[in-house]
Amino acid sequence: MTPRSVFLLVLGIAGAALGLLRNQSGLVLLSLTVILWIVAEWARFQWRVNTELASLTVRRTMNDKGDSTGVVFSGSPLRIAVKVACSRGQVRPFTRIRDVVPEILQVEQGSSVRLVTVADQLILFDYVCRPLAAGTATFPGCRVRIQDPYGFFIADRFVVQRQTLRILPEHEVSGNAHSQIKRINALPQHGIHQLQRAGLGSELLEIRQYVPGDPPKSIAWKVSARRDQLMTREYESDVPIRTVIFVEETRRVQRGPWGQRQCDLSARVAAGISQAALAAGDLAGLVLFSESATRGIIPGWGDRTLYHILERLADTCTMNAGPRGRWTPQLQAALLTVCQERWPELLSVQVNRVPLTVFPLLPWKHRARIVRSRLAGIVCQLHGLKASDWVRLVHDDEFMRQHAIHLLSEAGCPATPPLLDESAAAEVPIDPRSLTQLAVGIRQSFGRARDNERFIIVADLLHADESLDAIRPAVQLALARHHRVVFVCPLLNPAAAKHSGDDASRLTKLLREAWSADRENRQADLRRRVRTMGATIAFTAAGHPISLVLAQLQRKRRGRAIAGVH
Amino acid sequence: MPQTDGNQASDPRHDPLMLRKQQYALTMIAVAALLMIQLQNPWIPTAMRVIFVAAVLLGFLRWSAAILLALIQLDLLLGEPPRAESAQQVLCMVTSFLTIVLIMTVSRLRSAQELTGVRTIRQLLRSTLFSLLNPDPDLQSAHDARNSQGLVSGAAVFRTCTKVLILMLAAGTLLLLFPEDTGSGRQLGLTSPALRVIQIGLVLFTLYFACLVLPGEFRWRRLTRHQAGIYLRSLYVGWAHRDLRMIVRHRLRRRRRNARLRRRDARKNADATLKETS
Repeated sequence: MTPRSVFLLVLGIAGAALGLLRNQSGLVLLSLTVILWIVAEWARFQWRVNTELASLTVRRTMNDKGDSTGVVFSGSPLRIAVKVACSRGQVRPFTRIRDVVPEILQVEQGSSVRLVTVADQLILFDYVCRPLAAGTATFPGCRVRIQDPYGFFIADRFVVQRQTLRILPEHEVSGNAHSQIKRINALPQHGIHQLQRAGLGSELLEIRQYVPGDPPKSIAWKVSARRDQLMTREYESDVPIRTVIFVEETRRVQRGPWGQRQCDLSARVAAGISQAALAAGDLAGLVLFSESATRGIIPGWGDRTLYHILERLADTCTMNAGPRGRWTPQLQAALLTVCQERWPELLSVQVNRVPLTVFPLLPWKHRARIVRSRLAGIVCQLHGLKASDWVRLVHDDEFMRQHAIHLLSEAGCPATPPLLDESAAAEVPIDPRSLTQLAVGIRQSFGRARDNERFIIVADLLHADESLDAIRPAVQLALARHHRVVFVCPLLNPAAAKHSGDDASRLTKLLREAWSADRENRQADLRRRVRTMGATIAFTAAGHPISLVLAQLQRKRRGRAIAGVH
Repeated sequence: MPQTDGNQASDPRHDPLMLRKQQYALTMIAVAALLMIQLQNPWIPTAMRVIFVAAVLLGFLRWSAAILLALIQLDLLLGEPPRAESAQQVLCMVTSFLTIVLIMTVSRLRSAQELTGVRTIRQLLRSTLFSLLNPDPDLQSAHDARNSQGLVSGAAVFRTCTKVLILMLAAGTLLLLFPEDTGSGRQLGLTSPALRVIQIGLVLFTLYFACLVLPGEFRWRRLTRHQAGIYLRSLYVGWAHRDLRMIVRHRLRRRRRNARLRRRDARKNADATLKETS
């Protein structure tokens, strides 16, 4: 019952009683009519709730496919059509249907809400949305709110239609990875590259003095005749290249708004590099490192490997449960919101009863305890706990927190730390333990490597400072074994979005300038540190074409130094 | 955004603007009729009439149906004579009829406003003007066809009036079932109006009880598995709450105490190690 109907009912009862006592027939008639009207509407509404609402079914198609799972690339449009059908009766007017869209998706065209204004057996609506980042999106179902035409009664239900969408990181599809200008005499086989070291390739590396044991076929007779001594031709090596990409997967990189997190940028860069490497016929692999462990995909060829890499990168972008902490009012509010959204019928006072207690005495604390008790009931039911655990959930913060986080994750709304400003996310330094794990990963990779490996480390090391020394031995050892190490540092671009308006205060501008200057200094410092290791570094920001990084890598394939980078 | 359902797109009834315009038109008619009746009301002084008219108009524009009902009830309470003559009773019935129509249409209008987001008449006019300046050809032709036939408004008026008449008939029947009877009241030591209040109140309470019990039973049989599970758990927790709470709190206290002791022991060990090394 809404306040409107309650007021009308109270006025009707009061008016009828006064009119009867004062023998005023007009007042009595009016008041009794109002009471009977509300009763009639209530009966009608109950019938609607028990027939129409119970028989509603939802069917959703994503890009014209109605499967329970699907795959889509981040940034590509996703067309969603929702069909709501009523098997008994019709969907009446004043029904509001809302398809619950996960936070990772942004509705760009149309609306996910449909207000029914005419009775119909079948309600259709569609909208277009765009994934903001890689990860997993779960469509739980539709929230249906029905009310009578006069706004006296409201009922909410959630019609479950669960569909999960795997969002893979977007990547630029590179064209021909080889140079269009002919620099070599013979094009190597697909996936084979020239290495500027002596070998059995077709490209001339140098001409040197003959040493006994050199094959007679390689003697350069004309040069030998001119110099009057035997000279021999030495050729470059033709080798396959294996690219191993190292990506950080810690909670540090998951901070920030969807699509503007560091992990989103890293995934995009790593996906682009993998795609380009595989398109050029190289082997590509992936190593994910965190504070505690490294895991990865062994280098391989083909689309299957690319798909595995993209899937693993999508996993790194998926929000996971936060670290241990306390049960906070924010967490309770988040859980209440999700429960109101997903299980409104389980919050009903008639079903979810709260034991009568006096304590806590303060009204707001008492109210919070009642809400927590209701939430505990829902958690208990959904997780199959005993009735005694209900009381434990109410009093034990840690127990409640664990189950709340689990429930939120199941509902597709993982408990995350508060969304930070991008600059704040960028300024969290990398954990030294992560760098130790990275060093372990590099060692393991070149331990099973061949001669010509390329290690690409995609991580924000701007604030690493001295802790970067943890990977120095591993990098130098890799270089000594004729591998190549390239650092790609993804940079978030915080100031552009938030403070570029005309109303930006002077202080904000000054802070922005100071922040930019500090970042430039840090970039120069990091470049110097990496150069002392003997490796290469490239910086990339959101919106920067991945082709810049790929161009550097293309030059690195030939084993030549890049001017201006070293 | 292309509409997937072509029939719905061309149907003017799907236009919320159209619905609101109809509701406004109906409400205006009801208000005008009610005011005309009130202005010819013989038992209220002119000053009171003017205040009443202003209040009803303001209520129509800004307030909810409950305020309007309260105003009209107050007017009837103060102005209607007890045991009115038949001419006055007819006037009261007409007033009641128009009041119910007005409350119905205002309630419906407010619901439409809440759902569609257009709150005031000015917003409605603005959106109407916008739709006139940027007409949708399909929608416009369908609007014109329906408006020329006059079906939508006519049907809405007819439905509302029929509903109000049926409800008033039911209320009148209830009143006729319990006429003023002085004999029984005297036997029970009550005045005739008081006895009538009790009689009608009992009927209404019976109606309420039936409404509470029957659908409650029906709802209980239709509970989902989760609802039934929560209900049973909450009942059990309600019965054994004190004992369970005591057990849980005792365990929590013990756990905290153990943790505190462990921390203290660890601190002591650390201090001892420090002393040994120094």
